[in-house]
Amino acid sequence: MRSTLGKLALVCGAATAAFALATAPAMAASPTNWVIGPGSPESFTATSSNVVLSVNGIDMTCTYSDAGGSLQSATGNPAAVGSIDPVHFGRSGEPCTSFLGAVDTVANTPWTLNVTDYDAGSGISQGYISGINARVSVATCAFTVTGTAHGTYTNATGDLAIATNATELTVSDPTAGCSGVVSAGDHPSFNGDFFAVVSGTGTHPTIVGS
Amino acid sequence: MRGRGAVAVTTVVLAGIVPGADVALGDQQVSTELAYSCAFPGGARTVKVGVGARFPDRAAAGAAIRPAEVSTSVTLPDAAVAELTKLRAARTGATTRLTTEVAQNGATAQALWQGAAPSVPLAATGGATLKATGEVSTITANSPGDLTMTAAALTLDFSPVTAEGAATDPATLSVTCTLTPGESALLAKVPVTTAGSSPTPTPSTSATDPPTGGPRQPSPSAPNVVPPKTQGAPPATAPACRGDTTNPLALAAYTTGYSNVSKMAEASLIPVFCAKVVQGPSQLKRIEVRPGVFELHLLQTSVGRLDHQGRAQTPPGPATLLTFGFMPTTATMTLEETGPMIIDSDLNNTAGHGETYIRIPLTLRISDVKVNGTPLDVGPNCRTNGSLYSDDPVPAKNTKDHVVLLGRLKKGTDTVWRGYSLSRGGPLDGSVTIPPFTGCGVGEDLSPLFTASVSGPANTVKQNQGAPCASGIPDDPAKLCTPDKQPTNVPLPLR
Repeated sequence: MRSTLGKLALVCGAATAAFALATAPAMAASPTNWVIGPGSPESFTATSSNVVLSVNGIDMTCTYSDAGGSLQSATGNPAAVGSIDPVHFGRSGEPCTSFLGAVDTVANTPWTLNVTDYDAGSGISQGYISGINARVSVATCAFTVTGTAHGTYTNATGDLAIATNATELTVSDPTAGCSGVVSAGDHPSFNGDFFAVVSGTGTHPTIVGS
Repeated sequence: MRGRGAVAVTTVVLAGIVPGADVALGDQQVSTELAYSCAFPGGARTVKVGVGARFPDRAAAGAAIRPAEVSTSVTLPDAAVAELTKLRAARTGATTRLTTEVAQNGATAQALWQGAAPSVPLAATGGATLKATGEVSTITANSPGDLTMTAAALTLDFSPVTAEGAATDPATLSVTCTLTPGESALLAKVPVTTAGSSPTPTPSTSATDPPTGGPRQPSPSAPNVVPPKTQGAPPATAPACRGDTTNPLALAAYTTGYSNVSKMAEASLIPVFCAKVVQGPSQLKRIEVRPGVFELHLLQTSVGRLDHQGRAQTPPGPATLLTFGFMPTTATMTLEETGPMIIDSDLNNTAGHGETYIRIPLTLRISDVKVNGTPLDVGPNCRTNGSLYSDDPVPAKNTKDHVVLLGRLKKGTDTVWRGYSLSRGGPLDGSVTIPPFTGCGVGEDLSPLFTASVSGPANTVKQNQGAPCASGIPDDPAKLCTPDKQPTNVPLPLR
């Protein structure tokens, strides 16, 4: 599984990885002016062919997921530069699956895209999605996942790469059918690459912090 | 037994309706070809859909309009066939669900036309045409005026099988289709005239009980439109199967399939039956398979029971292939459950496979026997002497008093899990021995005849469980439950 720190290390290069890991927060310039391109505000769509929600070692894999929403320039740090609404996991004929069978997830949106750091050299932003709220169902087992999900956004590729920290998502309100599998307070992980384009175009949105 | 083509007969009621006698059908023969865009996994494909039906040329207010000889032919282009052959399908059957808009005097209602299409072969070129037949909604209007029926959304549920006759993986493919813009989708216009000698309807008062939950048209001058009373109910091919709403672990599921009686020439269809299951406790277990190497398993034991009108059995179904004495013989076969159904799952997350064993004691009962059309009284107790049984892979459980069905789940290299799990259904396979018959015949012992023609080993059973309705919890994102907590997913039999 990837982590945000792992991503950061990759960006900084192997030779300086340890240094970057240790000092990145202190050295970050903490941009406060965030500009969305090519135009702000703009709507976007994004798709993913590999999203994995994992809880207690159980992988729930989606070979299809899509999202949409809007992006707008913003100031501050963290800065809310996007609203994600809707998010779908799986589609007809291509559900998300696990060893329990097909998994159905209802995302309660909007979720918010926040940015905190920006590397001008690579065009990669660090940030997190907040307001995550989704209800996951497999037969008699249904549970809610809430919290945040950290990740990166790469301007050149439109890749919103999500790789949650260990405890930032939390399970609540499981039904009795989840007993023995998923419990309240469990921390799922959420990993996936969503590739974004400005709606109706092949252009990747850009996020530039300064 | 109900035919495979029989479907839900919903009733679209245009308000103020009084029950009336059927109007004799006239000669309005409808035959329309429509272009639909169907969302296959690989992209949108244009599918030609022919709709044929016979409507009355006119109808009296208050009388039921019953479309007859309804058929839907679906012609798949090569690209759509390729989506199925990509799953290694050699043939496919399908169910079709065509939503029709019924309109009169500005008020509308929807009626679902559902049909079943027998399996057709799939080839790389030349396309494929599936011809579905079925019964459709009865429509009743209380006031005069033209009543129109227009085709709207279409859903196709394919049930592809491989050249070996096995279910593909996944076992079904469901695609939704929308009309190509610009298509004129009018199916029929039926002028509704004032009821002649029938009781005068009261336009402002519904003579029927308004069903709950149905939106009503606000205009006081237009007739109120009440959606189909049985909207969302399972098709008529499926018996009632209301799940327990008080137990959060309750599941209700439909299953159907073939029992290939080896002494007969062909397989017998076990009609769609209802099983109610209480999901057992789940245990996540890390099992050390080699020193330091662990596999994550989910172990679960659930208990279930068949339910047909409260009895633990399958719906009685026809067996037309008993062939003793070379005389064409028909009979009704019923599988009766004589003890609890135990469902044991061991799902291995690490190794990417899962096995579910379903153990169920089942007695086979035979009734309503006709030999060459002549009834043969076998009495009320003609049945196998004990349960059909399988070789149980667990030696301690190999007690020759229950059927064993195995459902396999497997994770593909594409990370997708396919096959059977209790939570989402899928194909179940088994091989059973049918014990000798007992209690057959009135006055003379006919049991040896049935034993000779039916009993014996190595009868293959292939069942297909639909996705269950988790009836005891409010969550139902995949809409697997009807409003009254019956399963919406009615599986098709697999060969």
